[in-house]
Amino acid sequence: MTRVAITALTFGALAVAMALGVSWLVVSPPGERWEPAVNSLALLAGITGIFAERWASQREQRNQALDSIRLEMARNRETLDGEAFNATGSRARRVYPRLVQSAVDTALSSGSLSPHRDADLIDLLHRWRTAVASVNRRLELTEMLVFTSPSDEKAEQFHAALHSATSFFQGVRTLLDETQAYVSSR
Amino acid sequence: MTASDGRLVGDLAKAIDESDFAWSLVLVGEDQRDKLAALTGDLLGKPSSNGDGKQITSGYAYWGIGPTIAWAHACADPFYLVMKQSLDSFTRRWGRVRGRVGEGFHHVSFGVGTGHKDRLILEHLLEHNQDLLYLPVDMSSEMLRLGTREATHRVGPRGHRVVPVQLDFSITDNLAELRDLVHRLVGDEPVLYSLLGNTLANFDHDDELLANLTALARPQDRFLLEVATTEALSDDLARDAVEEYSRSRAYREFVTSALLHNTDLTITVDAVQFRGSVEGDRALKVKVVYQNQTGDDILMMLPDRTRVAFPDRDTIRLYLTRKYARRALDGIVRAAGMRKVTGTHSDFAVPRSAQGFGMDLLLLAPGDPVPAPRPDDDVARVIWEN
Repeated sequence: MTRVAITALTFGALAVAMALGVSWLVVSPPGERWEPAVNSLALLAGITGIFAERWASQREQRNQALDSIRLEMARNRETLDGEAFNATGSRARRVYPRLVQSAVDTALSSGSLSPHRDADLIDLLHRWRTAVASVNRRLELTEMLVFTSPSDEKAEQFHAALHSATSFFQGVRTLLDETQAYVSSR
Repeated sequence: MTASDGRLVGDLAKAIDESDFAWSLVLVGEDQRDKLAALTGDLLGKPSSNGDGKQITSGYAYWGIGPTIAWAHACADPFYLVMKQSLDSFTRRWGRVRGRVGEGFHHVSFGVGTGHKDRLILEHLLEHNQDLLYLPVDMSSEMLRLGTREATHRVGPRGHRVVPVQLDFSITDNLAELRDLVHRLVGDEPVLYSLLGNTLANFDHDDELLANLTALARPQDRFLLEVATTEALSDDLARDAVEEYSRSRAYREFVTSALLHNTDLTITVDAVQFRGSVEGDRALKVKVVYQNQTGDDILMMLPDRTRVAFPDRDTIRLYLTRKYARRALDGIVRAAGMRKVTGTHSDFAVPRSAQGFGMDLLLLAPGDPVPAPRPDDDVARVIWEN
């Protein structure tokens, strides 16, 4: 409430001062118009400067958020292409590396992205976030079951399920492709 | 047996062990004339354009020195993926399984092949049983000679403890005789039976054959089974399987060698065709056929000198193989009255090979069949399925 009152007071005072400045310019004799003209232009610069600064700041935040997401996606790509997730790699029991999503979380929670202009991107990032959380949870379950089984066969079963054509994991790879392509195009 | 008979056997064993000459003692279980008659009968089938008439059944593809040499060449061909990958990855797969075999085993190997795999098995078994008896069983004496020499090269066992048996093990009565022979030789000591190299897939009635072979095993015995596998079944994958076999010229020469040596046909390897299909929910099936593409009806002379018509577009099925669905393996094992002690899988690590093709090595034991898993028991699938 206080913030709204201060904003109303600030912009109200500026608007009144602007109106008085323009009136002063109109009623002043021709030889004395330099002062009201300078006063009116200074007030106009003050009002537009507030909006310009806000716009530049938002743009900078958005760019920083997109850069962070690009880096995070590249890091996730390295993880998925690494030895741990290679279909022809070792089938032994192992702790898998996890996919990260901190940049996506920050971008979504900080309001850096515009709900109107970035509606598609926000939707894509929400889907990606859900997929990462799900795959990390499934990896946890996999490790738990593989490490508590006395048989190496269990590790092989999970390896086969992880890399099967219908695996959830293949969907995550496709979603990463889609997200990376979209973020790069922004 | 008299004392003099016993002495004769002892002297024979001593002579084989002490000689530098490559003697091998082979037990021939069947009259080879009957086998030739059976082969002739198989080539008298009715005309068919899809390999369902005339055929060369599994054992005959390796019967005789010509097919045996062609087989050895095909195994050395880097384009014959199934065999190459099977041989390359067997050391690793056997390493994962052998710890569960136990000690004091003898070894009976069905279809000795090149002998490389049997050598690895013998090396391990000999560590725990120096008096091991090794019985490779095959329909082809030439294959036995080739495979046995490789299997026993530098690892032993002593010459008289190696008893190759020339026998068609797809015939049930033969197996009954073999069982009596093995049990007489080893008594109650355990036996490791093996059927490696995807040999099971070469038989029309593979399920029946596996049940007959595993029926030899007593509670103390184990059965080692190696099969080519696929993660999924589809017409596209059947085409990939066909592609895999058709790449190798040496393989084409091998599958036609039985025809070359038992008929007077002029063989061209270009007339070898590969037909892939999905066999129910259990396997991808590849039929290799030889088709008369000369445009004319021709006469073909068989081993007994009879001449039979080989009409234009008619086919002779040369070879049959499969890639079993990995999900169907448990059912196949269960239907044979066995339970899986352990198993291991190896994917084909070749860029052009279809995703999901590989080899599985299963160590089986007789006993109460394990109940079929309920769908919700397949935890890995449930967790990673979409």
